[in-house]
Amino acid sequence: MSTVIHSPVTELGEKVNLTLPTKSCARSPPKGVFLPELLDQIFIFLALDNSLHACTLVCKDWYTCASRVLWQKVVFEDNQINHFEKFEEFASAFASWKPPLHAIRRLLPLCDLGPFQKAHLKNSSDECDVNADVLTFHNPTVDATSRNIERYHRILRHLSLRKVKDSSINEPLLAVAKYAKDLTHLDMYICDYLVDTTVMAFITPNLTNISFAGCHQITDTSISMIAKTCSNLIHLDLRACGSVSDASISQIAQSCSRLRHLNVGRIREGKRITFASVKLIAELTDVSVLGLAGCDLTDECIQVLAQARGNGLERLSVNNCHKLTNRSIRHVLDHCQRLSVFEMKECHLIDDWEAITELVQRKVLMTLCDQQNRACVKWAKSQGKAVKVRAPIK
Amino acid sequence: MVQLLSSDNETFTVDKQVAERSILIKNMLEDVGESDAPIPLPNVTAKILKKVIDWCEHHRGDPVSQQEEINDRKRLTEIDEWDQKFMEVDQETLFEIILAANYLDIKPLLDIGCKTVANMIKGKSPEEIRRTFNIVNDFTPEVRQFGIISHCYFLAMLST
Repeated sequence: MSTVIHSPVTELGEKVNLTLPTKSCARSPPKGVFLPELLDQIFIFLALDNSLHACTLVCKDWYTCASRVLWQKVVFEDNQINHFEKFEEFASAFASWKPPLHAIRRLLPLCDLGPFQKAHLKNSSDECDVNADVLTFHNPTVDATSRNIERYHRILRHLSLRKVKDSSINEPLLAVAKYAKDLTHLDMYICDYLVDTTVMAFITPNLTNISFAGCHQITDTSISMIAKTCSNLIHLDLRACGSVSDASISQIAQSCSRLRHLNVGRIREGKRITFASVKLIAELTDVSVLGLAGCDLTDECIQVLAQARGNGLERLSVNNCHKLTNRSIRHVLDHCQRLSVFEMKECHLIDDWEAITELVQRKVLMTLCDQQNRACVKWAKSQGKAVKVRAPIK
Repeated sequence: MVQLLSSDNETFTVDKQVAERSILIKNMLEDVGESDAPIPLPNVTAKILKKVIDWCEHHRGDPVSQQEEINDRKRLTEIDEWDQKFMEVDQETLFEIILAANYLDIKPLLDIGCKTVANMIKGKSPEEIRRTFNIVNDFTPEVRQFGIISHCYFLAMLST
């Protein structure tokens, strides 16, 4: 089994180097190639491109910088192969989480990695051995890794887990939460089984950006705790979290005055978000991006919002807020001079096309549904004007 | 017009608008006010300052971007054609331009330089990277082992 660990060593040229030190080159490395602040900048580009791993093995200085950048932001996206299994592997390395037996079996295909490792293992006689070895948790070298892991606990700032459909998502997350105390960004996107108790384990005053978009089991319980704990909150995305209501959003308004981005848009349970919390958000926070699609809004809500936030409001979505009338759009037009995006699909009581045309002329990107678009164009024609409604790029 | 003095005492005369692509110079001008005295830049040689000024001249009309988000994967390592040509210099010069951009606080130039280096690293093995930049492998054998293991971990966890 040990061949496995050693085969990449040979492949990476380490052993060859031991006997043949690279004396051949007379030129010295360029100035700056060891400067942490420059390396950080370079490595951030490589990290976003998933090609930072090789940098960790170049030399000590590069190792320090590259691993710091690598562990700052950890993202598991559904465009990765076996992204949840990779997350489980991360949880066992980061938090000594022990997967249940059935999960280990599931983890095995994990080591069938991309072309990079393939290339380095091409001389390995039996790739299956590799798989087994990397996954042996009693391997002494792996234990050495876990001793070094403490360093990374304090580095991790951003954790993102997207589109996990497994019901076993909560256990590894709880293990990670125990050590991830310096997170500033927590991003959980469409994780069907994510529950309040799990996310509550992550809540510390350090969090500034939280997203539970599409995690429909999240309720007022965890959002209340965020309100009590995260006074520096800037970004809160609760799209499609239908259980979240005025109760916790009002608390957020009262304790998170720096909030700039809030999305409570929804398809179901629109009645739970009303004037009661929108008024407080408008009056007590710095909100500039606000998603209220499908909420139970009235013209009065928009009036208070437009008056309280005025030029501070940059993006607003009221898609599917069926009670809004022309009064709403006039409030927006009069008070929000710096609005850049306005979404009002399916607001069929609004037919003040003159006001909408004026918004378009101010270069506001509008989202209208087909029916609204047709009505708007028809009105423009009758007035002898050309209106080109442009939707924001998603 | 503004006068800039390189570390090797060469004076360059440039448009204020061009010089102000550098936040360092912009702040200096604001502090000092109108003055004919050349601004000393003790960390930048004439050769590099000439390059940096060329870049600023070409990009003088660019909108001064606010805190751009680097979420867009496509834009990541993309460099426009003129800038690519501009960065076709020997390694020594490339790093000196990056250092100068860092010192003069010209974020877009710094980004282009770092992207250029990132592109030189991409797809290479550690040994190839060492050879590219003449870096000596200073890992102890013990750490090498750890490195290999974490390397496998990183690959397993973070590769697409």
